[in-house]
Amino acid sequence: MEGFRKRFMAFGLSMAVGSSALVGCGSSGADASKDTNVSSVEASVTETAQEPVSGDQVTITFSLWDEIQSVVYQELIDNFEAQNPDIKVEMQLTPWDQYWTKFDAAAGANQAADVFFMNVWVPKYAEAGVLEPLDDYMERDGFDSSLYSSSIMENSKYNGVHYTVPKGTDSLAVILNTALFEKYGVEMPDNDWTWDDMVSICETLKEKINQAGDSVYPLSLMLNSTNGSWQPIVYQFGGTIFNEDGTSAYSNEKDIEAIQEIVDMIDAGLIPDYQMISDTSAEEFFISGQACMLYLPTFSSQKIEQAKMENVKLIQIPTAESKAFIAGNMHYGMNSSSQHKEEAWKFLQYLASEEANDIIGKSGIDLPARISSQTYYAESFKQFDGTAFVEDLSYAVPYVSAPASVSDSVNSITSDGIMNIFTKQIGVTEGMEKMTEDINAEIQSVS
Amino acid sequence: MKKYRTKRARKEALSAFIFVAPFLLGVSIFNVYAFLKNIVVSFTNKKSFGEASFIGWSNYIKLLGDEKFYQALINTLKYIVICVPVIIVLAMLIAMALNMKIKGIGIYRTLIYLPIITLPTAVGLVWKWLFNNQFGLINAFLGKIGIQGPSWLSDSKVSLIAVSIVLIWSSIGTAVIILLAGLQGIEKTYYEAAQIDGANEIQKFLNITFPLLSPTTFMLVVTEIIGFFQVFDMIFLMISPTSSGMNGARSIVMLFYEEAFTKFNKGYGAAMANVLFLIILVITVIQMKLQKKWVFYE
Repeated sequence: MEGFRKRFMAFGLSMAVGSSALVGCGSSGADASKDTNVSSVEASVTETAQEPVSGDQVTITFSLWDEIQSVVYQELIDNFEAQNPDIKVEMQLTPWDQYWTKFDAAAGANQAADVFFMNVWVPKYAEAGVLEPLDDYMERDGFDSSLYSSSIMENSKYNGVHYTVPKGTDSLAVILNTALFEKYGVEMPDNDWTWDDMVSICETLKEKINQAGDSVYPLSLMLNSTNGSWQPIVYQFGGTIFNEDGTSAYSNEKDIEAIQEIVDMIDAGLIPDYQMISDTSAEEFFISGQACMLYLPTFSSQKIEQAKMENVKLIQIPTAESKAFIAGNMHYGMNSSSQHKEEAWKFLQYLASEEANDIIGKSGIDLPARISSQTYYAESFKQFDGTAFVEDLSYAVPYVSAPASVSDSVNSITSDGIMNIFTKQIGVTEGMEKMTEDINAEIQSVS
Repeated sequence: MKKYRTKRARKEALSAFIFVAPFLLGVSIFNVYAFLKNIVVSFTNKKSFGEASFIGWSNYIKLLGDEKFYQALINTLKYIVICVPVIIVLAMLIAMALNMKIKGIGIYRTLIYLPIITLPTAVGLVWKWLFNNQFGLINAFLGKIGIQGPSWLSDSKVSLIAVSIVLIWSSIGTAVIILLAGLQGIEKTYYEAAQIDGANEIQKFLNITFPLLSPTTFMLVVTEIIGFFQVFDMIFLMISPTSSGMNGARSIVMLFYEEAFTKFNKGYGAAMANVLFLIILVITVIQMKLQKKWVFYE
């Protein structure tokens, strides 16, 4: 018996060594095995999450990317479960930076959550068959699209079919640090200001800041965020991202003019440059009192709110050619390979309900898609009045993206290209033309 | 079964196999299978979803003309040239210091090894803040002594140096432990004999320590170079994808990650991983051949 026991222990030990070797494989991630590694890890994670808890109860999974929002979604899940005792919803939180990597791997293995956050990349996932078409469900249960902001409903469609239920929308406004305006004795702008007003206010501020010997910037722009600053500004100047024929529009006159305006502001020291924004985010510049104004998209508004700044005021974005800006939006999607589609649809209906939208609006986590709930969002901020976000929403233009199969590559070309322009690796006109060429080549490679 | 003449020998072979079986299983699933599959994928246009079709050598041809790949290759070689010699030399000095009989030697040994057992994520995030150009401690300190510190992580001219500093700091412990073990394996009698012959410390190092430590050092050089060819985690943790510092710090594996998991060009990413494998293979074979010139086996 003694020999057996020894051998048994040795076996246990070798198991331990083996499993630690597996862990080693999973985390090294530097070799050729990475591709398969990730998907199998994801698969096992989702599998364990899908185990039913008890008898007749059905468990559906719900994946999202935002930690701040997850608290409110837990509340919504609790409400939903109370109303539907036979359905249990399990939340899976993945940070934004890894959300799509993980989602694609899981969806590729038919292991994605039953219900999930979706953004403006609806075409990619509709095309790939990951999203369940919802028209039949909507028709059957009388889903009323007119209750929601039209730009969001527009983006929930692909080839005329609804693939998602609307969640919320981005909006854009400018937030002012009133204390800094008072300190430098500059008059504060109001809702009907123009882009030129903004530039001249920046110049006056810059002068006063220099006189005081401070290291403060008049304005801060999220240069490294596509839909946080420069794409909306392109639209304000009358530009677009894609032409009617689907080719890239970046080399158009208006687009170049808009980007040139931003580069001029960098050169004049009116805004922190790209390198500074890379180290310290545009929002952090504003929160730390190192910027008098900030172009603030709704998806960053909670950062400002939670910094508990006194003396801040929110106003509409300035009029360049117009106030029109391109707005991203968020949706909820259903997994086409879900085992529990009816339960998932019930949950989707709840998420789109007035009750859920009101809770989301009041919490201030997202500007809700349902029009009647949007005022709650404006009132949700304790440090400032959020009305400008809702007012600006009327200027929002639906998001447009490249053909589904190349959207990832086009996004990558765009963020690389604009970085090269803002960091002065390449001139504005030349850079915009190169971006256009590269994007068109990518689009042509599949058509 | 000719080999195992007795029942006992067969039993021993069986238990040996049970010992290695879990490890073999892990290696065959996560390494061998994945490696072979990766070769297949590299000849396809695989994306996230949908059927992939075979496109022959297209991915490899595209790779040869990809400026970003060459930039990443140069960056990776820079990491190797900067980090490996520094780690080997520094680790050897530290190992010799830790080999002395001084008070509190256990504490020093622990301190040197501490970065290894610290979570890489924590290491990356803390250093990221230390290197911040506005609020970072490093630039605050440099400012105190009158030096205007650079934007360590967002200036593509210095971001590779900043990442290298963290890589050296966080991985030197392993090299020290291995060299320390090597040092303790050298018999005291050699030094005693040298002492009697009147050798000084430098002569002892050059004629005893270095030759007897050379197999350990060789093993370290080989594994460190392979490790730095695969450098990824610290870059990923410290520099965001849209940072202006990324171009100067992007390694091959970082580029591979972006291609395969941000742009979801999995076929192209697979081709890149295979080329990296070939490069590592060639470099390692060359090192194996060259070892005869300097490695001394007792």
